[in-house]
Amino acid sequence: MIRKGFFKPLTWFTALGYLFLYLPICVLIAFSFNTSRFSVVWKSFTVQWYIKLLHDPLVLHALKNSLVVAVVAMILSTIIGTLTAYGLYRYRFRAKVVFDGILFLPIVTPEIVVGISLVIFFVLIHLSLGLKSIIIAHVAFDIPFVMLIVRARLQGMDRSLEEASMDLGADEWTTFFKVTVPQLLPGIIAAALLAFTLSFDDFVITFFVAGVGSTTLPLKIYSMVRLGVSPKINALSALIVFFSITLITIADRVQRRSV
Amino acid sequence: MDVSVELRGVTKRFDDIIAVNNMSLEIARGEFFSLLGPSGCGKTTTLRLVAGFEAPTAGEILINNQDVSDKRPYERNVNTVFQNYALFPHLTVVGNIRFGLERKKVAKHQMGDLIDEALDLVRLQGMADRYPHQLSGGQQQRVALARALILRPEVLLLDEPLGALDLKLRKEMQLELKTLQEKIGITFIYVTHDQEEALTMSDRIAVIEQGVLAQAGTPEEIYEFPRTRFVADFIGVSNFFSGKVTRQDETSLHINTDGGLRVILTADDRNRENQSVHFSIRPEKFMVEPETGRSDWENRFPGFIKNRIYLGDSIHYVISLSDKETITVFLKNRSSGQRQAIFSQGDKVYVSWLREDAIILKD
Repeated sequence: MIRKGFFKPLTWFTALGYLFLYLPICVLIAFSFNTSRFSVVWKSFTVQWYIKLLHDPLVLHALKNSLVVAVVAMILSTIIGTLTAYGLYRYRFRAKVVFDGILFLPIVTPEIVVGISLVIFFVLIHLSLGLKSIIIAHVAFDIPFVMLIVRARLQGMDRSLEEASMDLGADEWTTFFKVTVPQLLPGIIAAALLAFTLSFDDFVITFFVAGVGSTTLPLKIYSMVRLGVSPKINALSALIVFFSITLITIADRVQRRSV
Repeated sequence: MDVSVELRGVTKRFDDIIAVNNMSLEIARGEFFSLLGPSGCGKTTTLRLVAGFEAPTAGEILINNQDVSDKRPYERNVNTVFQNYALFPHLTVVGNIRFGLERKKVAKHQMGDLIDEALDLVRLQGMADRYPHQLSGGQQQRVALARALILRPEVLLLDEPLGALDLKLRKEMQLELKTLQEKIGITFIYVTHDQEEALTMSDRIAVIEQGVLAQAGTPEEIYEFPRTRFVADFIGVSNFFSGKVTRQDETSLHINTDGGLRVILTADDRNRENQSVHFSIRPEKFMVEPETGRSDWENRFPGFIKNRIYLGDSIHYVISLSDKETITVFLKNRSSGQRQAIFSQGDKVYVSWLREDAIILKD
């Protein structure tokens, strides 16, 4: 397809763009296998940093926190987000346009603003900062993403399926669980995986709402970086990158396969 | 009449639009009843009202002599075959057919036989474990039928179920549906915009115009005696005339048409003297003779062939009777023994019809 003239430099720009995006990550991953303590000079290949990582109790504790937060936030936000999206789809009311519009406000609001507002909110309701506050915050920012994905799936759903179900004797609840949910399932799974990833990777909002002993993995990396970048951080980051990419790929596949 | 479904003054309004307007209908048990009309006339809304997907703004719907107006779809003994079939994509053929039985809490050991019977009825043995997307349009159609019929509803509602099929398959399915309906004896309410389909399959047809019932009757009644211009125009082809009654006696109406033809029609019980009147004549009811013809029919007028379309089994002529009246005439291609003259463009002819073949329309 690529011929000449304008298109040739265009391919270079495309390549450059990708290089710009992925080179730093590749370098990061490469240096996680470097023997040298100092990240910028290559000595020889090793996996010692990964082994050390697995024996660091603080890192493991942070990992546990991150997993707990991400799993709970994923479950809650998927349920709430799916039901909210379904409610908006199913019922027609006057303020619907407004609700549709403000749904995406949280997505474009700077995370730092969300973080500050949540911390003020928690102080107001006397909720001590810790895992609980992190989970609530994560559920809050996950919901719009879940809704976005489930809504797209809903819009592609044939409405007469629900009518057919009721026609065949199923009441509203049975229809929802036997017909609607199976139709939405690819969307729901994709939304859950995205929510998990967003929650697992989040730094800014978590930074504000975390308390003592509730350090998550991104927060732990940040505190480690402040003491100097070691290949151990490279290793940890590489693992997170790999983990996130895997989840997102699965989410994408699930959503695509059943269009 | 053993009434299966009755609509009493049913009206359905969506915001400013009146989709169904004061509709009253009685449908007999075991009848194949069609709702016929152009798209947007309210026929599908009428069906959805009976199914329970819409609630009437006014009026009552009775199924089996019980008022079901405020009953949910799952509380009514009716089932629907949807236009796009609405098969559950995540369930197999059997899963789809079983869905209604499970909701009815039919015992497991009975299900197997019922499902086999239903698959048999629609000739889908061997397809049981396929998913809807693995089936052809005609097969999906049959699954939708089996899924609905297995519940033995009082009434089966069909919303243009053949619309998505190609012409040949549609013709086959028309016959199949009709045969099936006669075999199981369930009342069918069939929505279609295809007049030929309605004429082929129905015991009775309701023609709907802009939410209003224009006329209900057997296919023959609807075709031979359309009550309004809309019905005459929508079902088959009609030639319309307008004129003024110059004289009325006990048996005849003497009319001067807008084009100046002096026509005699059968008088009805209304006094139409000096009033304007509209009537229609089907294109196959005319006799056409050459200029030299000698028939003595009372309504006989000279004209000339404006246009001719040769269709093999018949010939369609467009004949001008006056500067305001041009008619379409269908003449069958007959046996050589009873051959009639074939005319060419420009030929002068005599066109005549019998008074009983003209239908006076409600204005």
